[in-house]
Amino acid sequence: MEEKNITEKESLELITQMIQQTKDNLPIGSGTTFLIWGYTSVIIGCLVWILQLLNFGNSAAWIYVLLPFIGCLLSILYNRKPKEGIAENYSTYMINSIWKLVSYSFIIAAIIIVYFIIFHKQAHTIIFFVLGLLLPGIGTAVTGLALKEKSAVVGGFLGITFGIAAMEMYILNSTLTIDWHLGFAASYAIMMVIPGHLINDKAKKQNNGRT
Amino acid sequence: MEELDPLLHSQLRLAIMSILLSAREADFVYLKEKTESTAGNLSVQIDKLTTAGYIEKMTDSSGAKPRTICRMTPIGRDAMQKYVEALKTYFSGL
Repeated sequence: MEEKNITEKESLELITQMIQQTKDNLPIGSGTTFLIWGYTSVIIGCLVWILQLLNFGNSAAWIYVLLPFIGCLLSILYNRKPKEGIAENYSTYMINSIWKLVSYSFIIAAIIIVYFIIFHKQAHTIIFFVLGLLLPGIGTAVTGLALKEKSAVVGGFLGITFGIAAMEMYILNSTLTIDWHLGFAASYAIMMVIPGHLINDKAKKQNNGRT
Repeated sequence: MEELDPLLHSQLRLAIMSILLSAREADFVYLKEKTESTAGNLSVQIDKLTTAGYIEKMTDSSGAKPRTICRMTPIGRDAMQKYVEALKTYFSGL
């Protein structure tokens, strides 16, 4: 392509062609971040459940602290972007912004809880458990809406439902039963693992169709 | 029939603007690949669009090699809208 004047018909064709080439195709591996966080949460949730069944007590729940570190580390390792030749479409921008908001909310929650532990000698760490379902649930549902992936919308909505149910249960009984850890793992399987695989399949199909 | 914006009525510049209409932002290499243009020519056309205020250029230095990222400005979006509206008048009789 070069700098040359074109006819009106050519203009119209060029605009259509360029928009078509830049349309919102899912890049291959779009569901990988879902899979990383999904599988890590499922494994950790099951591990805590098993340890509590084996009478390790509530201290086993501290394994959840590892979740953000493992998730972040694996996300950085697997999501190495190509250095050049990148365009960001509006859906990707919206999805990235939502997940940034989710991450910042977790950081704020962590700061508040640490503050209460240090200065008030007590804190309801259960809030992490509730937020761990509620916030990613919102993020997943919005991602599903942006990508037109129903499994993510339904999964996200179920995550929100489990989060609200866990909160209600805790308020009523001041504790959560061991089975809630299994529920946490199951929620992540529905909320992230299944949509993650489906999004990856969808991206593969879209990119195969384009070539 | 309305007059078409001469700055946009050029193959390469219109291609750049059309890409930036559907992508929120795109880097230099992406634009070069999609428009199948030479780096020198693309750079000149990007500068012309930047000078007109239709697009903005940014440099991303986070990687090992700095990347030039282009994004359409509200002025550019407005100009594209007017261009497409003017283009429609050429086909209204068909």
